[in-house]
Amino acid sequence: MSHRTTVLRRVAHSRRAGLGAVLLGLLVLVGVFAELLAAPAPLFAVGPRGVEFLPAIVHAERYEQLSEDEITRSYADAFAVWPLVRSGPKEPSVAGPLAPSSRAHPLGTDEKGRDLFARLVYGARTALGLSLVAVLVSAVLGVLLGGLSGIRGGTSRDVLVRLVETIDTFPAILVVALVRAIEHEPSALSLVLAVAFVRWAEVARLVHAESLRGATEDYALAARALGASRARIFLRHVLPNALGPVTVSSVFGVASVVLLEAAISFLEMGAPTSAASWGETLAQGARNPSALRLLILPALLLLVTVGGSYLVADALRDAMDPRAARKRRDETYGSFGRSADEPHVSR
Amino acid sequence: MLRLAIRRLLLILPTLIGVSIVTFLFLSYVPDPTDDPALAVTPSERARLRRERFLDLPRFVNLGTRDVRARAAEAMRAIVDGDITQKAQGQEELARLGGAALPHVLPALDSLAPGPRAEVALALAPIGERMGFTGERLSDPTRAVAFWTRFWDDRGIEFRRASVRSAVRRLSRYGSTTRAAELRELDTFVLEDVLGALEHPTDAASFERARALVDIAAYVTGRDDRIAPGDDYATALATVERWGSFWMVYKNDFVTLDGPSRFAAIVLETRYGKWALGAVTRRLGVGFDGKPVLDGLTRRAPITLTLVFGAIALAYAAALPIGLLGAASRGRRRDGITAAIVLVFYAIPTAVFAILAARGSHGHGLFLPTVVLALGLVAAPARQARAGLASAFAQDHVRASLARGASRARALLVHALPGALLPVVTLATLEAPMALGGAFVVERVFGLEGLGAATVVAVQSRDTSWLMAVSIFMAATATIGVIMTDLVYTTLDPRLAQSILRQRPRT
Repeated sequence: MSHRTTVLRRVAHSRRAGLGAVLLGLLVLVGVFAELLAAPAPLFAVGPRGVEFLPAIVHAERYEQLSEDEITRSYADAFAVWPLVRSGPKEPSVAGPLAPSSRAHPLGTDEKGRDLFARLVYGARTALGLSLVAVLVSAVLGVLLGGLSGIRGGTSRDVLVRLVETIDTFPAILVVALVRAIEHEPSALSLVLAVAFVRWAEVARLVHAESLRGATEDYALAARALGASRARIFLRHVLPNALGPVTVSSVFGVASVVLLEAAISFLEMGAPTSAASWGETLAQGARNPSALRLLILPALLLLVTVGGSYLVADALRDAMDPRAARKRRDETYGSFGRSADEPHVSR
Repeated sequence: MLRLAIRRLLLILPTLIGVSIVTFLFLSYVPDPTDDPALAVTPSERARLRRERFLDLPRFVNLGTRDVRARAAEAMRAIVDGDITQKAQGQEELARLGGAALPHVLPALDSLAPGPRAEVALALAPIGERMGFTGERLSDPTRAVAFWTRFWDDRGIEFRRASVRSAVRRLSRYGSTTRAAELRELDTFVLEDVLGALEHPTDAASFERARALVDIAAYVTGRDDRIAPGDDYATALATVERWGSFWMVYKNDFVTLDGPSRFAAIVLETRYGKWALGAVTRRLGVGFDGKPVLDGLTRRAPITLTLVFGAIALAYAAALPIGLLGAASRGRRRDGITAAIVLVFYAIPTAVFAILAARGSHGHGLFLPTVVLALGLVAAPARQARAGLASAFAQDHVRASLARGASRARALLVHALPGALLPVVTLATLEAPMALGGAFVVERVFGLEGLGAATVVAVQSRDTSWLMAVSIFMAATATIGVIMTDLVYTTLDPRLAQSILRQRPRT
């Protein structure tokens, strides 16, 4: 049985990983299909203007001009399938600010009169989209640069180690602050780049450590003796070993970046103000003590997202740790109690 | 061990300079508030604003510094060869440069044709008036040429650095009106020494000295910013500071660069050079609130650092017992429940706890904010400690101690814990930057006057001096943190000392 199959099997049997994956998967679905849950226009309409499919996405600029009433009237004599909530995350609704829950707005409205349900649904898209992209970019950057230092060695390695050390300990929130100071208009892209700028160092450190360790292993020496170049040794023998820690660190990264994004939006340095963000809703909750739902609901969503990715990452890490696997077989271990996650893995 | 610490401390400096250069490059793209095209100012006013914020200088290397010699020569060329507007500009420029330009203008007068010579001599009339030659009818071309030629023959010897320096020293030592008048007769040529001798007024004598010097500077530059006799020391100090800023910007209009100073100008006459000079000599520069950045930093940093490091210490104090508990009861329900609680504390954003805690209490101590911040920091070290301890149980020396009849608690605390602590200590350096983000949030919710509040304001007002200072401060704190971790590392496991001395493998 190969290492990869073992790992996958362990992850599949882990209850923690299952729970985390379900939670995270649900939120990803919500983020991806946000338009089906909350949008100002119908999902599907057959009427005088013919068959329309998701008009709010196809003709986004037209629907941003119209108010809710106008949109409702324009579909009055058409057969239309509406989303769960008939309002978008950006436009203030007629219900006014901080309205309690009603049929039109199941969770009420926020400080600026926007539908809270829509804000939270689209907030999932912001949080997960931002953090997934940031983590991916930083993983690619980290593997590239960490690999480069692993291949080249010498002065460039020393410089890179020093650089990684400095960046790794530099607070992400300050980098975001610096980026925000430069920009005229805050954008989501710059937030992603700022976070990736800090996070790549962690990945590079992992890859670098793995390349240091791998270079002394027998298989690497054997490949060297056979005439393989350093780049080939890195790609074929070191990198596959490094990908495990990188994956674990990246999944943990999703959790920490989601929290970071919430903190940044809370401090009003986050994504553009028109974009929905859980952190921004939290900041409104701080300003309006009476509307407790502005605090509880985004906190719950953050709990689910962060907790879900943490569980997945934790299970992955345990599954990949060969020492942990050996330990589980170890008899001595019994004296301290059985392993928590997978009591009956057949081997 | 000590040598290691000292060497690493010395290495901080290049790191910090590197951080400052990168941050500066980054921040040099910040749109400057005075550079906003929507701002309603005349072009000359805009040029002045840009100059006072060093926006006309290159970022890191300036090979074409223009000192008073170059500026005077340019002004003369404009008067001699230019059209009407250029002539007017040249005259204005020459009058502004004043006495400092005379050593470069007057010797060159002879080489000019009679017409241009008269024009240049006429342009010098305002300088003559400032010097006190009001009775000489300098607006008459022939008289002006004759006067300035004679002037250079008679008084040229006074335009020497050494004599000015001793005159200024005498003025600040004995202080009399005749000595002041002596200096005024040399016009802007004395500025370098006058402003160089300016010191912060702390007692009556130094106050008088500063007042006399500022008077001369104000007179020769026409910049009406003086110290009145009845002013208190704070006002006087502010005036002295303003003159310092003035000199930082306009020094090159009144100083001749030659020899080493010309080479120094390649680096110093740049935006980075100006910032670095201000940072070193003037308390990290002046922020948008008009106060030195260092003062704000020293006032605010203790709050944030207490929050961050206090929270980390609290979190570790809680994480170790939790990790022990988890490792000892691995697989039982108690372990699962503890892990779940710790995870919930990690996953709920700090802001929520902070808001709830701030609503419940009305105290203004730092303890509650620190506890709130610590809640989210427990998870990582607790998890790490639990994993480390669990794997330590399997090790032979722990099994051996159990076999010899040691209690489980003893096996845990004495034999397993030290080895398991290593990765937990490494984690501490990585937690500090994360904790800072939480600290900013906590500061905002509790209304604390820490670094976070000032940084958010600085982002909105685009205050680059503050952002520079806070970045460097953070980098320094982080580097010191890394060094301290290394020292703890070597104490915990002396075998690692050798490898850390050479390089830092942090896994």
